[in-house]
Amino acid sequence: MLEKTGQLLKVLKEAIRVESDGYNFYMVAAEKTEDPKGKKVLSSLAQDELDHGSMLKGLYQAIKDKSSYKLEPKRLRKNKPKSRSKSPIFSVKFKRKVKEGHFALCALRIAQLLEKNSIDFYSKNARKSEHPELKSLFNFLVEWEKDHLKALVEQENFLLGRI
Amino acid sequence: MEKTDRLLEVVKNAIRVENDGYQFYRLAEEKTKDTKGKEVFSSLAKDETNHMQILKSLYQSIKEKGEYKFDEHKDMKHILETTSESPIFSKEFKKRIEQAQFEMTALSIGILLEKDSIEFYKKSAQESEGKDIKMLFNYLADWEGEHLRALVQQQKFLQEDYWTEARFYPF
Repeated sequence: MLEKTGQLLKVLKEAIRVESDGYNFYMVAAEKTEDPKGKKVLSSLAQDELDHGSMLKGLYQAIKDKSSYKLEPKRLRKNKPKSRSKSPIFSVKFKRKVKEGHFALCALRIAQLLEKNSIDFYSKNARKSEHPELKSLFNFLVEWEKDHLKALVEQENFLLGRI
Repeated sequence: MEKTDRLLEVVKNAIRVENDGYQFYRLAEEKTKDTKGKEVFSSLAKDETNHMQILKSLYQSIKEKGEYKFDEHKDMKHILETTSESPIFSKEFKKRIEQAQFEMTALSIGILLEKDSIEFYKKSAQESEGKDIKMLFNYLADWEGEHLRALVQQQKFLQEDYWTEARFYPF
């Protein structure tokens, strides 16, 4: 049961922290990589987390101030990487530069941990929530972060020659 | 678990886990502006290098001799100072907390990495039949547990002030 205001605010604050961690990490990873496509896609992943965080912050403020807030998660534009590409984050030729131990692989695995953590967090809170709109918001975020996770896993597999 | 190939695969994964930790702590060392933070992240990176060395010896020993002897005295733990309420950053760092976006994320990521390593080593210890290998995995799980305690303590020390001062930056 998340519907007690104090409890809900606590969960939203934690959700904002989760998104902030994702945003900060993707920004650093974008800055560090020398692959231009990687820079672009990692920045767009950071933008996704920024959009999620802004929406959650709007909701947090509205609940705190007892004002109304219209949840419209579906209006957010997904910047998800092209899942049909075998190398959804980095350029195909970047593979030549990457061996086990390269920062890019480490960044992909850290990002996977962050996305898995977000998915667990939103799934747990979607289950606990009785408010249909809130449940739907958390489930929507679960699906979005799953798209990110899928691209990260595919990219790691591609760089390691598993696919 | 003692089928040699399977064990070697586990050890290879362990080296990968340690390398991810090493790379991340080096990045955190490079990015933080706090002098104590730089030193502590550097020592955490060094710990992960030590673990990699221990695991590489294990790998070689298993591959060449088919056995491994754990020597706790040789592989001595570097003890992190965890009695302080601020074990990673300087206490003055709190005064500049509104600028600590990267550092707060570094703590969250460090916590996720350490939890992941602990889970991995505990599972590997449980599945392992060799006494010395079991001891080594448990020893590494305990060591990562000390890192985890320091990171959690530091996060607790800064969290509330960070949210108050940073006002949900960057959102």
